[in-house]
Amino acid sequence: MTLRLFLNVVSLEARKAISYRLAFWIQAIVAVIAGFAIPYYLWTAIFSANPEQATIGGKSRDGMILYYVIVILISNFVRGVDMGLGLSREIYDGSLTRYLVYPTRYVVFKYAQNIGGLLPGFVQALFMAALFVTFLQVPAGVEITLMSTLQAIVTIAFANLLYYTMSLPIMGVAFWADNVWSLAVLMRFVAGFLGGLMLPLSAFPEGWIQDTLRWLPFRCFYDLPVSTFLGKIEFSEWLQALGLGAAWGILFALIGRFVWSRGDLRYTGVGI
Amino acid sequence: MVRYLRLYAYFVRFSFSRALEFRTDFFFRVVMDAVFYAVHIAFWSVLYEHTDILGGWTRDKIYIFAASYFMIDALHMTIFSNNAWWLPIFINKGDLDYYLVRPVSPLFFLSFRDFAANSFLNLLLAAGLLIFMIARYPDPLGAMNIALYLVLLFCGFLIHYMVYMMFIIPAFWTHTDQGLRDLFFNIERLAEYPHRVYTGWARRIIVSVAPFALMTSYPCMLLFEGGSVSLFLHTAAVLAGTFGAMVFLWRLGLRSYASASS
Repeated sequence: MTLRLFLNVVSLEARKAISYRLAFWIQAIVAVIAGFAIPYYLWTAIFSANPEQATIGGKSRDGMILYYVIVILISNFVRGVDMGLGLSREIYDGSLTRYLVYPTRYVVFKYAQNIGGLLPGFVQALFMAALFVTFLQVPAGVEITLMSTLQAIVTIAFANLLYYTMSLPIMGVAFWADNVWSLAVLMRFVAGFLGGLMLPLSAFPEGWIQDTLRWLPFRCFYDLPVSTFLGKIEFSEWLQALGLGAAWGILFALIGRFVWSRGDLRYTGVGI
Repeated sequence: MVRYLRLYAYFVRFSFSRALEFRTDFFFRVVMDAVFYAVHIAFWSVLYEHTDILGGWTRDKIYIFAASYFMIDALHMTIFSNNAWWLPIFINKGDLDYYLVRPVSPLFFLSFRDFAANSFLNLLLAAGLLIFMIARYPDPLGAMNIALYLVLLFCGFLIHYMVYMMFIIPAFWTHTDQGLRDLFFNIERLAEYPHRVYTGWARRIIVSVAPFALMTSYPCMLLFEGGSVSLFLHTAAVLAGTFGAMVFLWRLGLRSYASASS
């Protein structure tokens, strides 16, 4: 796929994403309010019930809330646009055929759509971030620098690509099953829990559980970008985590390629 | 009433035969919900490693609360979820016409016609979990309390359905449920936590205008602490208010419905 075509697809999807503008903004604002309110009240209740405990998993109450604020702002970019439902529908109604005759690869085309669907969210994220910066205080011990911000942006882009790559084998199952929506949701649950969306990984029991979590790819989704942004991670550890994530990404890309090559042979275009 | 029950039995029978044609999807749904339950239980377990009490409830209580939430979710997924998914599509395509001319309440027909047989197994799983959590609770809960808890839980399920419908029905005007459906699921997450975790205005809102506390938190409060007249009156008032609001919105929506055919 040429860069020009890629950018055209991105632009088209971005315009599609804001076609229902009111819904787009209401949904974003309420999602952020609810997403912020829950951890705010939850962790305030936990810290209030245990006044002798100044930190949990190395985070104070304010540190914990800041963690969730960043997670809320980045989570949509990491997960991207849900592609599972789209492919099963395209296989079901035969519209996958037109992608197969396009002078580009389906996976790359869909990735461009994924990026385009996320672009308008950047404006929302910047707006929400400005609000939070105005009202929230950065707790002591947190070092947000230009370097950590740039590293975090790279990590988020990497996390989005990794999430997409891990979704490929799941999407490919649609060649055999009628609906893979439940598998995509399942992945979201697991990634959310083991990746740091529901809880910071430092809140998990220390020992083998935290050691295992560090070796899994899910860490790259939420915990790594936030820790990077807050300057809680050394440069060498960051590189190591990205390297491990890349290894998982290659593994899933290979599995995805295998599933797709087998599934492609089963596909029978109907209609059009 | 008998006619409606007989009709519902036909819906269920038809849904089961259709679900068994798509066995892989059936299996995936079961796995998905089993993982959903496991993730939630694990979440609470990790949280209770850092505290003994949350919103006034101990670990054993929160497990019953979580299982109650699974029940509401499983009931919703089994009975209403598919129907609510189709409603905006029917409105957009004009297919609503077919339901408006039938000799049964269109709201009943459109809310109940698609029984998700593939979620039914998860309902059994959620019920099993709830029974297990209640059975392992260290203190006696009392048969009367359990019976009243089940009544309130059923009311909570109805409130969940009606509030959800109020987010779907605006499709008559907006022609899409895209934003509103996501909006509901974002707000609904408030019901995943005990209402006493919230304070001030947030708590006032979730027991009144956005009555998510009444879905699982209030029934559990009754189970652990016993019921009171005010608790039942509060639930009855919210139930009646939500029902009235949903029916009003539905009628208003039908008046705006222009059909898409001819």
